[in-house]
Amino acid sequence: MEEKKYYLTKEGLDRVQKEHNDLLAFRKKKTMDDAPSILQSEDVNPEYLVYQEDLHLLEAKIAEHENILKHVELISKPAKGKRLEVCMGATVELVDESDKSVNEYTVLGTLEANPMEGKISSESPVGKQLLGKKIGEIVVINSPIEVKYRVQNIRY
Amino acid sequence: MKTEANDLLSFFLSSSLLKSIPRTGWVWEGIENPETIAEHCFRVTFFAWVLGAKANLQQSRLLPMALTHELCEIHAGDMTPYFDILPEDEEEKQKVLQRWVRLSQKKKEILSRKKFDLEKKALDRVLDPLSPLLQERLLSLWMEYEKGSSLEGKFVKQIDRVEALLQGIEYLGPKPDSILVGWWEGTEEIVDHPILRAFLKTIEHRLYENKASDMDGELAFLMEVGKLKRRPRRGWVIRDVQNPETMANHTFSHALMAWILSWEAEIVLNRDRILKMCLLRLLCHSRLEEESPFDNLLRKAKTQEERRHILGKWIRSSSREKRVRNEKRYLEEEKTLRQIIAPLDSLLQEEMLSCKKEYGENKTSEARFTNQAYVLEILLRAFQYAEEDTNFDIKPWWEWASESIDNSVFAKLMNAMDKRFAKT
Repeated sequence: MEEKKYYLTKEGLDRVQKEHNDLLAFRKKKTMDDAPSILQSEDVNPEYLVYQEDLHLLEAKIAEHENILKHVELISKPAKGKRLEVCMGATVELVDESDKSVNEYTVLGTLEANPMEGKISSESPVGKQLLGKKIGEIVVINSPIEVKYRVQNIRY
Repeated sequence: MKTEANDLLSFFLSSSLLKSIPRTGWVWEGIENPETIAEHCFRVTFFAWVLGAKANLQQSRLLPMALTHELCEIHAGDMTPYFDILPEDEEEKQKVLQRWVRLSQKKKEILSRKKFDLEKKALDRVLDPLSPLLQERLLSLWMEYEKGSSLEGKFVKQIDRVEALLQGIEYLGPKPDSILVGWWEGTEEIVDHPILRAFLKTIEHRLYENKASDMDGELAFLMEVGKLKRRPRRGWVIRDVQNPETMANHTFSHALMAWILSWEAEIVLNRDRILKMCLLRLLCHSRLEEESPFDNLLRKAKTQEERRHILGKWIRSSSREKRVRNEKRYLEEEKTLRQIIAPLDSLLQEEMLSCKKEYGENKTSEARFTNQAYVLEILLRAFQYAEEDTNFDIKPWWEWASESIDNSVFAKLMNAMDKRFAKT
C-alpha cells in the first residue's frame, strides 16, 4: 500500500522540524527530571498513571512527527509547463457559473490547511476536484446540490 | 474494531435529542424555556475543568465523564431525585418538592437500585451502535460516576448537583422560601469534597449575602459560562430558524462528536486538549456578539431576494479577504476571552489561552480535528433543520464542509449524512 505523503511548504517544514526537536528535548527532560516514584503499584499512584499517560502521548507525537518528516514532499513552484494547471501550492480564482461571484483558495497539504483563511487541503472534496484543473475548466463540487465553478486564474 | 459511519451517525442523532429535552425540575417550577439536559452537561463539564483543576483530579477522565454522564437520559428521560415518590395530586406534589427527599434508608436503596437499572438499560440502548471499545469506555465512565468508585466519579456526582443548585438560584433568585430550600438540603447531603464545600460557601456568601468569598473568581466565571445556555447561534438566527440552537447546546454536541470520533481516528490524539478546545470555542460570545461570516454581505442586501441569494451559498471571497476577516475575528475573540477568564488562577488562564491559540492557528493534529468536528457538527444540525423545514437550504453548509473536511473519519460521516438525509 502506498504510504501517505505529507505536502509542506518550506515554512511548514521548518515548523515541523522545530516542533520535532522541541519534543525530543522535552522527552529527555521528562524522563530524567519528572519521573515520579514508581515504588508504589500503579493501582494506588495516580501521579504515576498521569505520568505514563503523558509519556504515551508524547511518544505518539514524536512518532507522528517522525512519520511526517520521513514522508514529506516539499511544495515548490512547479516547472513552467505545469503552471497553467492547479498543483500543490496554487492559489486558484474560481467563478461561480450561476451568479459570477468569485471565490479563491490556496491548495496546500493537510498540515497547513486553514479553510477560514482560504487555505484548503488537497485532500478535502474541493481540493481533490481542483488539482489538475486548468484555466477555463469547470470544477464540480458534488453535494446534495451541485456547485459549478470555472477556473478563472491560477497563480503561484 | 471501528464503528461504521452509519452507526456513528445514529449515535450522534440520538445524542442530539438531549438538546431538546428540558430539565424536569425546571419544567415543574414553570420556568420559561428551561435549560436542556445537554446545556446542563455543558456547564457541568466546565465545572469539572475549573474546579477539578483545583482539586488536582485526572482531567482526562473527569471531563468526558462530566460530558457524557446524562447520555442514558436520551431513553430514560430526566429522572430527578424525586423519582418514583411524587404524589399524583398537584398540591401534594408541590409540598413534597418544597423539601428534599425524606425516606427510610431501605426505601432509598430500593429506589436507587430501580433508577440504576432503568438508566443502565437505557444507556446500553444508546451505546448499542458503537464499537465494543467505545461502548466499554463510555460505560466505564458512567459506572465510575454512578457508583462513585473513583475520586473523579464522586466529584462529577457532586458537581452535577452543585451546577443544578446554581442554575436554580440563577432562575429563581436567592430566595429563602422557594424550592431551593430542598435543593440546598440535597446538595449539602451529597457534597463532601473540600473544594466543592468551599464553592458552596462562596455561593452562599456571594449570592445570598453579597459578601466576598474565596472562590468568587470561579463562581463569576461559571456564571458567565451559564450565559451560553441562552445565546442562540447567529447562523441559525439569520436564517429565521424556529427555536435556533443555543451555543451551549452546540458546544455539547461539538465536544461529544470530537471526543467520540477521536477514538476512531488513525492517530493518537490528546483527547483532553480536544475537549478543552471544543469547550472554549464559543465562550467569548457570552460577551461578544457572535458575527456570522454572512453579516457583512447581509448589511448590503436591499431586498429579500438578495438576502436569499447571499444565504444560499457559502462565503465567496479572495484568500486575502478571508485571512483578514479571520485575523480580525481572532483578535476580538481573544481579547474578550482574556476578560472572561481574568477571575481564574493564572495557570488555568494560561491553559485556556493556549487552547484558543491552538485551534485558531489550526497547526496541530488536535486543532485540525477539533475544527473539522466543528464544521461537521454544524452540517449535521443543518441537515436536521432542512428535514424540519423544506425551505432551509443545506447548500452553504455542504460547501463549507467540502472545503474544510479532509480527515477520513469525518469524510465517511459526511457521506453517511448525505445518504441518510437525501431527499428521495
